[in-house]
Amino acid sequence: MKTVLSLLKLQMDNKSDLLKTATPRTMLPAVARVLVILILSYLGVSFGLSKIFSLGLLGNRELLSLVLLATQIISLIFAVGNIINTMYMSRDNELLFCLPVTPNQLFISKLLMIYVNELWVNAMISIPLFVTLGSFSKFGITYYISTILLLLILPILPIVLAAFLSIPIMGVIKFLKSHSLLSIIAIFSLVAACLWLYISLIGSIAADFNIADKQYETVRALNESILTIGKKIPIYYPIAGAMLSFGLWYYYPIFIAGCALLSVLTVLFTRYFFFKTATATFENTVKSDPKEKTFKKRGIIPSLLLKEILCVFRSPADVFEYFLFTILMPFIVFSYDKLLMSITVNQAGVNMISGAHVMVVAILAMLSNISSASAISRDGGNFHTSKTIPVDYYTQMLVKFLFNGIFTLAALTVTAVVSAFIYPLWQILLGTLAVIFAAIGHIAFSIDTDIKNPTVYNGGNEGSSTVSKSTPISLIYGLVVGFAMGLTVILMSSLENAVIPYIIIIAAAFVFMIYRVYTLILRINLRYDKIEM
Amino acid sequence: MLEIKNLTKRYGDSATNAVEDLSVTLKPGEIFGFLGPNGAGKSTTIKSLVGIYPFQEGDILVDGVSIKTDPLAAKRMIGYVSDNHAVFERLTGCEYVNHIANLYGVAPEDAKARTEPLLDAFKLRAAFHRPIKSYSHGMKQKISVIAALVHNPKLWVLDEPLTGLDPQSTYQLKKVMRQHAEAGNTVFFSTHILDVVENLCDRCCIIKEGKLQGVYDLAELKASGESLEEIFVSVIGEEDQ
Repeated sequence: MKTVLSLLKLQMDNKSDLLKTATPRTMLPAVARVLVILILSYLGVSFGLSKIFSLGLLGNRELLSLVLLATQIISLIFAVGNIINTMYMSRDNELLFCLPVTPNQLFISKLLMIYVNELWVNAMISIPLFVTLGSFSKFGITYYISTILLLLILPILPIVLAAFLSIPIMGVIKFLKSHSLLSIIAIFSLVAACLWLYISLIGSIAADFNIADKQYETVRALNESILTIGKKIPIYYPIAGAMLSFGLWYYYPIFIAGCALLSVLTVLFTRYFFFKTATATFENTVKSDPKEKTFKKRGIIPSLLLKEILCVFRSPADVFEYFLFTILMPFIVFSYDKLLMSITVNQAGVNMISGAHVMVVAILAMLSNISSASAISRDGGNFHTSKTIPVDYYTQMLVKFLFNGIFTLAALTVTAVVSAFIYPLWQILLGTLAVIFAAIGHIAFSIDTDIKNPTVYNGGNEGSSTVSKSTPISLIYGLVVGFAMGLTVILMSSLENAVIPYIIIIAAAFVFMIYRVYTLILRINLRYDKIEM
Repeated sequence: MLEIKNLTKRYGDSATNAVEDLSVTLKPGEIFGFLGPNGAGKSTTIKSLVGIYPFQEGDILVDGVSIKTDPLAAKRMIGYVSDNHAVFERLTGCEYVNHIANLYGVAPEDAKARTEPLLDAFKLRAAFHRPIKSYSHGMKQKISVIAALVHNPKLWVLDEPLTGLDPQSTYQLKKVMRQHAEAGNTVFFSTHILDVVENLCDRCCIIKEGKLQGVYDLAELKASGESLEEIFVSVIGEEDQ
């Protein structure tokens, strides 16, 4: 057992510095951070629920069973990712397999690691939800005591289910790994489907809640649905009963025994797959018949650009990280526009929504520029090439700029075309122009930030590295710029001449662009020279 | 071909010089070995001469062109194989060499003519169209060598090129270095293996703590019966090795 716990600690240390430096002084900020997250989540959930409870939502056993089911589904989604990352695709597997421990000790330590992760995720989701629900529904002391007990048990079922689900998922991942394009399409389709589902759901609820007369009717219908569905949920309806009434306590031992039995079955079943799949992830497989290519003559800029594209687009993970918002931008904007339009009732609202549209487009455009924040860093150990090739830094920077700019510009163009079906053409043209200027300025800022402080030393050699200290700075900066642009239009939405806010943001974005590009160009040689690796 | 004149390089705000007042001149057609213990300043000197590091004092001239004042023209004449053998691993070997050839403005037929014999020599033909990430350490090193030679550089600079190579590849690399020098170009490389320097180089130098300790003609050493190993040990000191 001591070895298992040591292995668990080793893995936890590898993920976080918390236990390595566990002194009261270092623990305090971490604990404070958790408390802040919990309090903020509690306030957020309370605010949302208070609106519905004030309209007559009933807190009862059926609602509780639905909430339990919802938390378990969310927990299950996290558990699948957690199992895949911790069990099968963990980078520490290669090292752990070499340690003088038995396979069982390693396997159990991995399971415990998954449980610890899931405990954490489950607590973050459940605590604010259960506390809010308890306080609004005035549940008794049995409920709160049960909540503490359930926090320890609830992660088990999602882990069990996820353990089984992750096996076919790993099969799909293995297949997609050798089919990059298919993998990229699959990832984006999945994200788009989830977004569409989310927006449709919010849209249908928002539309009903927006009309004052329909609000009570909607809540009544909601209560009826909860009563009907809640009763039919196996496992969680009895548990919800036990949470609310001490007389039904006997459901707990049954639930715990069931979880224990399933856990044993899962361990026996997944153990085989763990060793088979985990070792396969760090084995190099080589295609037997690679496609032969001949040398092609390209100019310096096309060649550098092609290198950037190939290095990023051959990794679905990088494409997802860099271009998630770029590719989904038209879809997200269109969905939000439809959603916002559905809850708008007057002209003032329409004008404000135009501002909200600019804000959404601008924020998404800035998020699309995320690859610029690692323009230098993603070269990793290959950065020396930038300094040894006979190509001046301005040209190299232009390529980095183009690589991001082309995709953001394309996404903005498609978004503009899509939005033109909802908003007047002049609004779309002016808004898009302002966002293009701001996006160019933001790309320049992001590259400049990365050149100032690149992580070329730590980057891998794959020609692409997601590690960059500049990314969060670029993100925050971009969000502020996007928010400011949208806010300007919203605040000026009451003006009679609706063009004025757009002229103002175009002018401001243009000045911003010129300033940022000028700053980047001005210091490029100096910044490049300072990078020593 | 290569003239390092009073090179002095400091890192950041460091008070000590990583390389101090280093002057060496390399002739065309010569293979020149660069020796020194770990931390002596070999890589710093190499990285300064290929344009990776800026330096505080002195100058480096490649065929009369200063890396300081006309870096692009100087870089066009240099082929560089780094010590970390970092290459863009998501590209295939062919794509990588093609990319480097394009950056140096090499015509596809010339690139092909220079690459083909090296692929055979290094037994890399079968893997040439596979992603570099599937290559072994030695294979990455070989593709770096091929890419560095694709523009037939006048000055070929290699930082610890023999580390991790199998005996057959080591033999081939030495052969390629010899051929490159015989064509009138200069080969400059750093290494810890004294035997290689003794058998391969025309001349070599030893540096210690960033300072040049001496330049040696290997033919003269041989004629005088002196061993490079003994000279190295006497210059560096037994404890410092």
